[in-house]
Order: sequence, then structure tokens, then C-alpha cells
Amino acid sequence: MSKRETLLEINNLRAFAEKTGEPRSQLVNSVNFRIDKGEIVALVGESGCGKSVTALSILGLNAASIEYESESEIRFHDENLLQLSDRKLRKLRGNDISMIFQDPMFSLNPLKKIGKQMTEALLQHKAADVRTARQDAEKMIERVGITDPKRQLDNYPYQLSGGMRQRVMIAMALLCKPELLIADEPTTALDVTIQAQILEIMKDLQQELDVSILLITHDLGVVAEMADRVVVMYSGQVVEEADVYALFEQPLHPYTNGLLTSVPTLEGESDERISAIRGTVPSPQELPKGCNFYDRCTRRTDRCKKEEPLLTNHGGRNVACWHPVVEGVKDDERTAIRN
Amino acid sequence: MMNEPLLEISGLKKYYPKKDGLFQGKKSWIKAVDGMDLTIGKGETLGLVGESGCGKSTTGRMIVGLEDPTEGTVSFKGNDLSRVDKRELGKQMQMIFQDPFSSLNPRMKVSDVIAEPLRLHKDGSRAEQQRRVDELLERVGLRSEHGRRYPSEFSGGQRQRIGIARAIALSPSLIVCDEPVSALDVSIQAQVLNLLKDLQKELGVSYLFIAHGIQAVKYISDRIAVMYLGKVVEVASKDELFRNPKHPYTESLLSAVPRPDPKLRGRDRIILKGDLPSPENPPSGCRFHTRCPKVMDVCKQVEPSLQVTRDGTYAACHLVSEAEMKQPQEA
Repeated sequence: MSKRETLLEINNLRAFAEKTGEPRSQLVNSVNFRIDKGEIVALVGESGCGKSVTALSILGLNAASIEYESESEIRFHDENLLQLSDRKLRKLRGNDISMIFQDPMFSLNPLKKIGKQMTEALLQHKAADVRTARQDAEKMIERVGITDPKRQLDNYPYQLSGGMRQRVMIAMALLCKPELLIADEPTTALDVTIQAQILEIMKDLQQELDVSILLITHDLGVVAEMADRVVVMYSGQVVEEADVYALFEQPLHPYTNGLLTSVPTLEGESDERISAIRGTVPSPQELPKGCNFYDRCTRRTDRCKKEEPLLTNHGGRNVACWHPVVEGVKDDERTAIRN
Repeated sequence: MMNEPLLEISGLKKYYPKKDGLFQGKKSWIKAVDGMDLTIGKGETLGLVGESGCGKSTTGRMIVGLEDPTEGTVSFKGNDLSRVDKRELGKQMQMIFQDPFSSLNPRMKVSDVIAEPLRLHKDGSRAEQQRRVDELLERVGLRSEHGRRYPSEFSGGQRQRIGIARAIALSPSLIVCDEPVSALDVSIQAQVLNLLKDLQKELGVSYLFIAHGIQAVKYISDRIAVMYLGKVVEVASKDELFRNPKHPYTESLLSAVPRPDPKLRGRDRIILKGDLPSPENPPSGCRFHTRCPKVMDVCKQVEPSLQVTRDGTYAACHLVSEAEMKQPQEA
């Protein structure tokens, strides 16, 4: 693949929350990845792995009680977003970077008509007059597959179905032609036939507008359908990062491997047992000294208990594991690849 | 194919009144379930899939007696449920809910949560009940000391295990599982699904497994019923359903599921147009006709009934009956 221009780069992102009387929780620990121009990067992981905290830190939307370590950096157009003033961040949001959430009902103003909400954003960022703003909104809302756009703009959010609302959110998010769209579980609340519609629209618009997308999801099916590159997180850390085809072909981290094998497939006979990952995610207040996945891992050794594996290059791919899964090597032969 | 039926549903309907207008003058009905027939065999798992609002949860709730049907009957081991004492029913049927956070009483210790059905049905002495609770905790993969804690101290997956322990306490013959894994993380889902499978093998219990996640349904079910807007549109053995879906809705539902394999990206997919119609005013004729890619004129007027096809599956579609007619009858 040809080298593309980097749009956003997250370096050493560490975030923690401190409440009085409670031990400090490490929410995100040394997260590093980049998003190239026109690329869809999926950020995958289970609840509490830090994927939303990471995404919200890009837009400065995390709760005030969440703090970042000083070396943390999110580079976007030669600026560190973590150090931007509120005023500058506000200018950025919705204009250069916009975000859609799982439940559009929370992000739409229930008291304002759809059309009003959409034109407001345009008027604020693109300084058009009301008429052209209205026309732009109409065009965009038609583009996301809403029929009769003129009438729909005069509706209130509650008058729309869940799928329609998510379409409106996407239209609104892309209205100012942002360079980056952050989509946090955009289809999780939707039915599967509606999800297929929304994913198709997102993919079409992404190509048409050449916007980059950071897609946050726990659904590996959605990842496989949409992403160019995948970043897998586990308890606050990036444990693996790879091209989508390479990752599904041969995951390197035992956690990624476990995730892939714990989804029942639709192909073939279905009586074989799925292999679950044993145990549960460690609490962010009592993370182990070595690898965070140690308790649940089938490939662990003493080293994993003592030393924390960092994200390192492994044959052109990044993985944070002392004993990555390598094709053709069975679990009981793992000593062979120990070096 | 199926051994003796444990549960038989026929003509089941549930309408909820919807009040319109300030003075509630106009009354309309939301037809959540609108004429359903189903059977569940002994030791069998029947998966019930469909999108939100199709009536799958309402069906489950009517089976365990949490809702009264507007019309139709549910019979369990040959007895009409409307004539059976509800308390007695609890020994035979239990339910597992979607949200393990709201379905366990937060003020009760876990051992009391699990012992509650035993106490209600005066099953054994206090000491025997305690022993049974310890046994149940262990059976679902928890430890007996976990019984002394409160539900809030457990993760979602562990709470679902507690819910399962409570459900199997009285050794019921049917458990209605309403979206039991959809609130859980992927790796935890697999644990719970495997546990349900193991328990079935051990106890011979039947499951009605209600879910919108098709992968999980395929994994756990023997047969699958697909619902659309209050009606069953297809019933088939799971392998048959996935190999050869008969109803266009089933076909598009399966095709819409995002597959965890990027190499399948270019595949032909059926992407349905439009939203689900409202169950308050379902379309005339076949309810799916407004979204069906294979719609014909007859579909708009005549409602197709659930018919058995030659390979033993059931489907409610005019195309299916037409195809069956064209085939020469085999002896």
C-alpha cells in the first residue's frame, strides 16, 4: 500500500482518574497509534478497555476528573490537542473533527427541529447565510438516504426512528466536511438490517468525502466490514495493531486470538464448541505488574508475570506480547519462539 | 424429528391498548404478537430471532406467565397454562433476563437470591437449601463464598451466572432466556453460552433462547424461529435455516449480519430499504411486503400462512407456496 499522509497521531497517551479516598485508576496507559488521511481505523476492545476515553481525549470531551500525563500527545495539524484552549477546541469540534455516538437521542437536542440543529452548525463554522445553510443541510440529509428531506428538516428528533436519527447524526457530523469523523459504536443500538444500511452509507460517504474515520466498536464483524487498519485495546493498552486483512488472517496477540475464536461463526456446521477466554478483565485500580492479560492468557510464562510487554514491531506488525501467536506454532511449543 | 412437545403455543396474540388524544377517545391497538404457533420439544433449544419490536420478548413473557395473552393458548405438558396455578408454574419454568444489573435484587445477598425459589416452594430444610445453593454456585462457575456477597460486587458475566443459578435451582424443564448474552462482552458471552450448553446436557432442560444476535442463536439452538412484526415467518432446523433460508426476510437478515472476515467484503448482500413498519398499523397482506426485495402483487393483498415445505421447514411466504406447488408431488 502506498504511504499516505498522517492526519492524527496519538503518542504515549496516558490518562488516569483520581477520586478522593479511592486509589488512582489508570484508564489509558501508553496508547500509540496514528490515523492516515482517508483511512478507516477501528479501535476495538471490550467495555472498560479505554477505547472511549481515548476517543474523547481527541476532542477534549473527557470528564474534568480525568487527567493526562505530561508526555501525552495527540498531534493534529502540528498542534497538540491536549494542550489546546477551550476556545480553539470548540472551533475544531464539528468543523475539523466531528463525532457521532451510539445513541443519537442523547446527542440531538430534543427541543429543536432537525433543520435548525443542522444549520446552526454550518452557520457557526462555515459562515454561510441561512438560505445556503438550509440548502446544504437538505442535500446532506438526502445523501444519507432520507426521503423527503424538506419535510424531515421540520421534524423533531422524537418523530424519527432510531435508524433515521443515526442518519441525521451522520449528516450533521459530515456537514462541515471534517477531516476526521470519530464514530463511537455508531450502530450498536440498531437492528441488524438497519445497521447494514448505516454502515453502507458511512462507507460510501467516507469515499466520497475522503474523510478519515476512527471507528470505535466491540463488534468484530463491523471491524471486518469497514476498517483498513485495526487497533486492539485491552485494559487501557494497545495490545495489537495491524492491517485488517492481516489481523483476521493471523492475530498475533493471544487476546485478539481469543476474541476471534469466541465469536460463533455463521459458516459451516455449528456443533463445535467455541473457545471462551477464561476469567475477567482486571480492575483499573489493581492492574498487575506484568502483562495485563496474564490471568486470562493461555500462552503465559513467568516473564509475563514480571515484565510488562510493550508494543513492538513483529514482522511489520505491532504487538505487545512476549509470546505472540505465530502461525503453525502450537501452544505447547511456545518455548521454541521464546527468543 | 422432534420428540414429544413440552410446550405448545397456538394462535397466541397480545395487543396493547394505545390511547390517542387528550381525552383518550380514540383507542388503537399495538399488535405486539399477532397470531403465533410454535412448539418446543423436550430437551430442545428453540431460538427466537427478530428485530426490536417484533414481539419475541412478549412471547417469552407470555410463556412464563408474566403477561396474559389477549387470545390463544399456551399449553405446557398438555395442560392449558391459563388454568395452571402460577406458583406451581415457577417450579417448571424459569426465566433469565437480559440485564443482569437490574434483574437481581441489590439488597439481597447472592445466596439469598439463589435460595429464594427454594424457600418459596419450601424445598428442603434450611441446611439442605444452603447446601443446594453452594452446589449451584459451583455449578455455574462461582465459589460458595461468593454467596455472602451482594450482586453489586460482581461483573456482568458473573451476575448472569447468578441469574442462571437461580433459574436452575428448582430443576425446571423449561427456561426462557431473554437476550441473556447481549449485554455482555464478547469473551464473556462465549463463557455464558458454553455454560448454558453444558447445563442443558446435564439437566435435560429445554430453552427458549430469545436474541437478536444471530451468531449466538445459531450456536445454541437446535431449531430457529424467525419473527417479523408479531408473526413467525419461518421455522427450521438451524443448519437448514442457514444453508437454505426460505423466507426473503430470513435471507436478508442473515445477509445483513456483519461477518468477522474481511475477505467476505465483496459478497453479494441484500440491504433492505426502509424502516420497520409500526406494529400499531402493520402493512396489509404480507407484513414484509413494504421491504421485500421479491414482492409480488399478491403479497400486498393476501397474508401468507405458515406452511410446511418439502424439507420439513415452515415458511410464510407466497413464493414458497408457489415453488412447492410447481414441484411434482413425490410419493
